[in-house]
Amino acid sequence: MHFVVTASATKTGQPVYRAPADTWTERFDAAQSFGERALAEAALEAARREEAVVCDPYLIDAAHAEIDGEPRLRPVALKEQIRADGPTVALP
Amino acid sequence: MSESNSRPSILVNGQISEDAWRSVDDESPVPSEGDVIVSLARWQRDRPELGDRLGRTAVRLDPEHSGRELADAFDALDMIVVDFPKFTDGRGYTIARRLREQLGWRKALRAQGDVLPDQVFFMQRCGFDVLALRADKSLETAQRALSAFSVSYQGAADDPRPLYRRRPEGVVRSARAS
Amino acid sequence: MYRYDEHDATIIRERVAQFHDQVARRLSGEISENEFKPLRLQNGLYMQLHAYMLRVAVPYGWLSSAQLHRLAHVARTWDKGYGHLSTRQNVQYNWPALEDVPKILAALAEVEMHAVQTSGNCIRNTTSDHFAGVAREELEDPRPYCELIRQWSTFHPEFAALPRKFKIAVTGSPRDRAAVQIHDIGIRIVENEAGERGFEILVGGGLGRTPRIARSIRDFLPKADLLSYLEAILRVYNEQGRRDNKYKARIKILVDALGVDAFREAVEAEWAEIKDGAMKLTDEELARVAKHFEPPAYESLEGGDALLAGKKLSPNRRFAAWLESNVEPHKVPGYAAVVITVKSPGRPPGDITADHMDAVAELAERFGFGEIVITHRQNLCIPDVRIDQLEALWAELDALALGEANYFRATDIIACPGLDYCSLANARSIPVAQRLTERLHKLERLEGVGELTINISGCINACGHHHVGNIGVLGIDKQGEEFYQLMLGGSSAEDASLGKILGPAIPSDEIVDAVDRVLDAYLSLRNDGERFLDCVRRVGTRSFKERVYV
Repeated sequence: MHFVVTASATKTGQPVYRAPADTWTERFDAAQSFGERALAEAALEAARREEAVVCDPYLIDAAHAEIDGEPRLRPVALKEQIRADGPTVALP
Repeated sequence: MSESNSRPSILVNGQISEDAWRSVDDESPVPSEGDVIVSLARWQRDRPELGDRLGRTAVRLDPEHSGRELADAFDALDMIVVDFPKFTDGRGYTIARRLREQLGWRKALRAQGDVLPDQVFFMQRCGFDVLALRADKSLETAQRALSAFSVSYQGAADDPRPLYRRRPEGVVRSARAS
Repeated sequence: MYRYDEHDATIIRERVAQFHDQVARRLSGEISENEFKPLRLQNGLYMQLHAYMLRVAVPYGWLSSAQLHRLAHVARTWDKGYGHLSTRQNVQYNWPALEDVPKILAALAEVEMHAVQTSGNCIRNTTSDHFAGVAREELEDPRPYCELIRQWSTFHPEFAALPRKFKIAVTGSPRDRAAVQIHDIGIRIVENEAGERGFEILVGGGLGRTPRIARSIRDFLPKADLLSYLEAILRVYNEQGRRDNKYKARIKILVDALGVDAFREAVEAEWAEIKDGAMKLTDEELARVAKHFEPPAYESLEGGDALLAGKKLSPNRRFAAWLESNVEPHKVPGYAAVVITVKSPGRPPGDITADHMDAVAELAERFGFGEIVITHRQNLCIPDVRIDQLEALWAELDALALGEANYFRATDIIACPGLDYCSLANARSIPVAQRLTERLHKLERLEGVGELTINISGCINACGHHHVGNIGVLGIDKQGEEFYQLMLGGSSAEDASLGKILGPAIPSDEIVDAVDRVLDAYLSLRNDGERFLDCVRRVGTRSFKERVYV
């Protein structure tokens, strides 16, 4: 199991993910993943100090899945998959 | 409830003022002089001796109180304090309106605890004239927030008349915040 | 409809300034998300999965065409070109940026609109009958009382930090289209034995984890006492409602805990202290507000009902079916109220594009009196259309793909946003509604089944009102898979009832077949002319269960 730190951007409300060098990215692909929970918790703690920029950071579970013949890191929960990919229905 | 830190300033009738009051917990001796706030339990226990103090005395109510507990003590008290342990707990607003509008408390009424600038407009309308903001909050922001609205629909402790009983005379509320 | 005076306008203008300042303090980091949350919520601003969501208040659902045009403008300028009609008659935007919200509010304020108290633990927008003022069986127009409640509850200083949200609905008609029995307070306009008008007051209705039908605490309340009585209820709730557990904080739990008689006594005791005070409504105020809702300039027309009956014989089957399902008798001869459903294959229920908003606003100008109502079932209504112009209106609607004949039919589905948008959801709602619509939308099927409500929620919080759908669908998460529970027999009308669970939850790819089998079961079990709901009530759910779980 891998862990990723996520939050909602204060300005837009969009999902963002913790990326290397204490930055945030809107792309799940570019997120930093942690193989150990303790490391992820430490990153979460650091993220919590950026409250002006992001809202309510938390950890999500991620795992490798085969996508287009390649193993890629994906959120495990359906909710987080939808959050990363957008609504599953066409917008009107 | 722990003793509150000495705070540099509070809002009294919208003015930034020095806070002369200190809280005394239920076990510590109450000094004879100076302005002190005690809990309702302490007041009920030690009322005779508290009533002989030279300094001013206030009683602190918690959200689960109604205000009626002090109805027979109005003469002996100089201020009533309503504690807001969490700003999302709105029971203190009802306590304040009952004290002001139904029980007839006319002296100082103080809100303290998790008192934030965005609550003070409502607090003032419910009858609080002393606002002890949470220590990390800006008194200037709170002072501005007191005049967020120049007109209100409902009656409350500041003016019992709803807008429909004020209409003919105009609706500008007295500028109590300035 | 109600138009602002200088005081209303001042309050809303000052509100825009206040929220502008609060947003600035949030963006600068002066206030934390934790402190900002109740502030933004009381201004209708949620955090959803993909973005903020802004819920704009539409008091009791009533809009002018200018306001609907403005909602379209907001959708285009600051959102993704569409909005969502909510079950509480409001409009939601799914993609606004925080820094744009003050601009949106300023644009709304120009047309006498706002987002005040559309969320948060406060008194929410009061809802009502979308046929208010025009329904034939109506005793009295409820809108003036809704407006009085709106003004009383707006920035009420005592009730801005209640234990939980608080919803009020009012109906002036014995036919309940406002779901008053599932509100925290439901108000019915009634007449007493002396022939005076007043209110019956119900409390403690609600859905969610603990669904409850409201209980009556007063048979007759004189009109002048409306606001003081509401204040007494709110005061008892504010002081005694539970604050230790958000799932036990609604007033229904307090009414359960005290018992309805003790609750009533507490309210009456509180009320006795304030009823003869300044809150008593004056005749002048009742008349002032009522004046805003005076009937428009109707023409005197001939042959109302006969003309409508004749039109239903039209050779155009789709038009005739639309007249049957979407057109409601009107209290003024020669007029009808028209429901425009925004539900057809491919669309998320309740979503409406900016272009459609503009188009409906124009049609309301041409065919009505420039007024549009949002209905509890997430549709739009033009309340005053001449019967002799119905065909022309339908042709325009049909050209816009808004002429669907399905009001209170199987595809008039209520669905919450579900897991596609909502951070609370456990399962998706919209795709299920779309698959059901795809399956059931053929006219023969809709007409064959007749009156039916299907309500879908993506979680136990029940925003899709699944407990009170004739067929309720509740999404649940079973080890990461979406499953759906079926309920039968719910209603939110005057005969309100809670649906009963039919059997084990059904996997997502089998739910449409299961609903289809429920409808087949109904067709084989029903008596002549018997509605689905009445059939379920007569035969019980067991007969259905046998036919659904095959």
